[in-house]
Amino acid sequence: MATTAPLQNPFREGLALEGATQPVQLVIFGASGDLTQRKLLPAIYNLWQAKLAPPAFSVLGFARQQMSDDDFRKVLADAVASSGEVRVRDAAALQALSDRVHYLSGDFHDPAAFGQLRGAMERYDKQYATNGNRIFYTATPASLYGDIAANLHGAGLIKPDNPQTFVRMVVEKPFGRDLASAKALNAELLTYMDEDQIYRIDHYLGKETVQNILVLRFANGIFEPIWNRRYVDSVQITVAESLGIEGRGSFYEETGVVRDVIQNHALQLMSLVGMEPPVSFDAHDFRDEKVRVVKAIHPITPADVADVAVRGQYGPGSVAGERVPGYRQEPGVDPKSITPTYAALRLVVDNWRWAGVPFYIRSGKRMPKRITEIAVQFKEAPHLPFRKAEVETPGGDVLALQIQPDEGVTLRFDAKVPGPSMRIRAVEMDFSYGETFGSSDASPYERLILDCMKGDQTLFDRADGVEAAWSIVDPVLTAWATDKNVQFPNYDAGTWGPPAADELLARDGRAWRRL
Amino acid sequence: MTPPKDGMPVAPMKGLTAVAVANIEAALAERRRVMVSKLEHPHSRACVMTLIVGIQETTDNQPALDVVSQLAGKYPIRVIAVGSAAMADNSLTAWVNTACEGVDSVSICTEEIVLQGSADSTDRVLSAVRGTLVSDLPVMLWWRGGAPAGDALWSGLFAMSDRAIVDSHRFALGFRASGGASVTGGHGPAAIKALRGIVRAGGSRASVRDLNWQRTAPWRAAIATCFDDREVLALLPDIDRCSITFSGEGDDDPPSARALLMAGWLRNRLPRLRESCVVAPGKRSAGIDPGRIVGIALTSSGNKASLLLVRKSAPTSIEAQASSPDGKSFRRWSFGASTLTEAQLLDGCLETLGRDSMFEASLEYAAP
Repeated sequence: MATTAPLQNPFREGLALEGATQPVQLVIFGASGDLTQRKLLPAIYNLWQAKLAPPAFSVLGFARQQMSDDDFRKVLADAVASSGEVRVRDAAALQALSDRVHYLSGDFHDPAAFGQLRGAMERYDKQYATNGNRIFYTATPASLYGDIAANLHGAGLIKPDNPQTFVRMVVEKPFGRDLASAKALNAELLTYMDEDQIYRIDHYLGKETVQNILVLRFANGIFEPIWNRRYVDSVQITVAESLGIEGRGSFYEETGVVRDVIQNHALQLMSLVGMEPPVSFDAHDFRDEKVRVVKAIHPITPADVADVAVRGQYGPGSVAGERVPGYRQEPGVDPKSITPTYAALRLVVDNWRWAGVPFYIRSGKRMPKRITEIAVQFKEAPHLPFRKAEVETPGGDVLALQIQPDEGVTLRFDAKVPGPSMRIRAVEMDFSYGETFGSSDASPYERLILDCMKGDQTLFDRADGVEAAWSIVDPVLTAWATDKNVQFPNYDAGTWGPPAADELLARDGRAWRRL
Repeated sequence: MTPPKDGMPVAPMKGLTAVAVANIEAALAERRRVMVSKLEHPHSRACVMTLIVGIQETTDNQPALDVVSQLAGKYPIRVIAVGSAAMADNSLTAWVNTACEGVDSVSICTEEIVLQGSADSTDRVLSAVRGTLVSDLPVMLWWRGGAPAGDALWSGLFAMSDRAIVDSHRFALGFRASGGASVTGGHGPAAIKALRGIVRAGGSRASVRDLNWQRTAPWRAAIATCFDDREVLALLPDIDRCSITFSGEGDDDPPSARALLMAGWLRNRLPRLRESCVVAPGKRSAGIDPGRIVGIALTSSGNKASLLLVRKSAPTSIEAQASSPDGKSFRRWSFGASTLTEAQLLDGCLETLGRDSMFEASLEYAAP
């Protein structure tokens, strides 16, 4: 028997918001928390104000804290008023959004609370004509994800009502705290829902400049031919923060720099630099290639850790002219803590493209400045024909991709200093994102929430990608947790990390870029 | 018209410096050097396109440059404004300016070149434009005037451009109804015909954008959003008629270009409307310019299913209402639809890349 194809909206094609959002109800778990106020509510407001969210839209906050709808609307208004990420403060738009924002108090472990949630969602679904489409955003501690998924399943909220509706769940990082817990969490979530319903968010992938890495590599004919072991000497990835732990001592004690940055943000950047060209930019092809390169990273054995990984913890020092305490003096931190606030890794990728090219990754707190950068160091010219040339800055050319704060691309190459003698000096050619395109309009959260509304998983992590990343850092975490004989602090706040990190590169005849 | 002063037209905009045509590049470089030296932060030069502004009427010089100045701060571009002025035969005058706008440590810099020639100096003007295009970057032509058929300046500028941005509303205003009578909202069918001629002339070499098409975007977005609703989408098989009402003065008003473009879009999107979509004038309300769309009805000949959209004023909005086959209203929307400025419309045409195939397809169905 012939089946009838579902009706499609013929008017959507060709509009600026092509493929834009279907009617949807967004439920935020952990609605009273910091992430909701600082990031999610401003992003949701921006989407609404820019008419990127559908008119048939509602937001339901869910958390243990007692709050009325009006209280939660006040949280929304405060978030919009105070956030630096809000572009246009439009009272009418805020009021219109506020009118469709609600709050429900409940315990994440309590199935009965999820029964109430179901009742509320059915009511608001009718009220706002959201067609049964649902997105659940887990802005909660990671330990609650499993219970939330189980209770949503128990309440019958995970399965779409019919083939035309969707139910999606956005899961915040950290996704697990090691390989075993990440696998367990994946298995638990996949008990209740399909992989294509799960949106594991890493806000780094929502940054314009991170996506620009892909454009730079795959839309330009000049870079890809030299993007391999024949021309590239090494790659350095730096994710440096000048800030300390900002009052989050107990959180950071449990986390540390590897779980906080290296396992996710830094390895995301490495995968974008190292991946093979995907067949297309759709979620399946793109994530296949991204995962493939992480899986090709040479496994670190426990015996290797001392040779390829360096840990550090900051002591007191000065950053930007201000004296700051050491990590162990921060509130909520054990005075004898061995939690690393700095890590450097030397990774190699076992594949045809990158064989023998080291990827040096470093991330730390209380560095001299906030900077995220990928530097592709090219090999030196095989022969310098200028016999008597004075070379001021020896070394090969560098293509540096700045992710933050001054987004752009810099190419360092050698040029002749004008004059009668042959003097060679390194010069830099800059492309500044801001001076070409103005500042980026959308925050990463805004972009990623919109992608989730549109059902585009390209910039979200897949289960195998998360597990592959954990498998790289797991041996390091285990070795460091086992070996408590470490002399911390080993770098002063306001410096670029411990001397051992410099030695890591010096052993290869290289040095960290001076940033 | 800019009055001549000692044989030299007065600068058409504040901040411009008169230069010899041969010295345009040198003058811009010098101004840039001075300007960058005043910035408190490092600055790298950036440019994404050349925007040529073709100004047909002398009185439009200032308004056109005012519109472009509203885009400064968004695009690092070279603007070449080209127009005519009452001046000595075969004369050509150039002015330049460089301006930077920025926030924090980021500045976006614009270079402006204004060229004005006498009516008989078009060849000289075109040669000056050709010599000042930024190498290897897209060239956009914004034609701020009526239908340009036969205009030598237009032909020359269009030939060197990758994209032409026109305004079919201005075209329409320049045409008269049959019999020579002036019509308030202009003559839409003639404007559409002229627009099609430009699109065909551009062929695969140059694409064409229409500010007037941009003005229909809120209506198109509203209709698309209404049909995003599953219950409204279920009405779609019943919908087989449409009518578009525009602001006019009387029953004899020819259809406005904007209403025709809207009809073209609906006919393109829903082929069964091709023979049953009508465009008719409605009573003109105070504060609503002639030619604007004031209502759209998508209806069924077989039952009472409908989607009705009506423009409301103060605050400006599009109110929509869907009714089921038994005529019962079951869904209402209110879409904010503030009037877009010319700068916003131009921005929309510059921001998107590539051809607008939906516009081109809709244009084919806009009028017989």
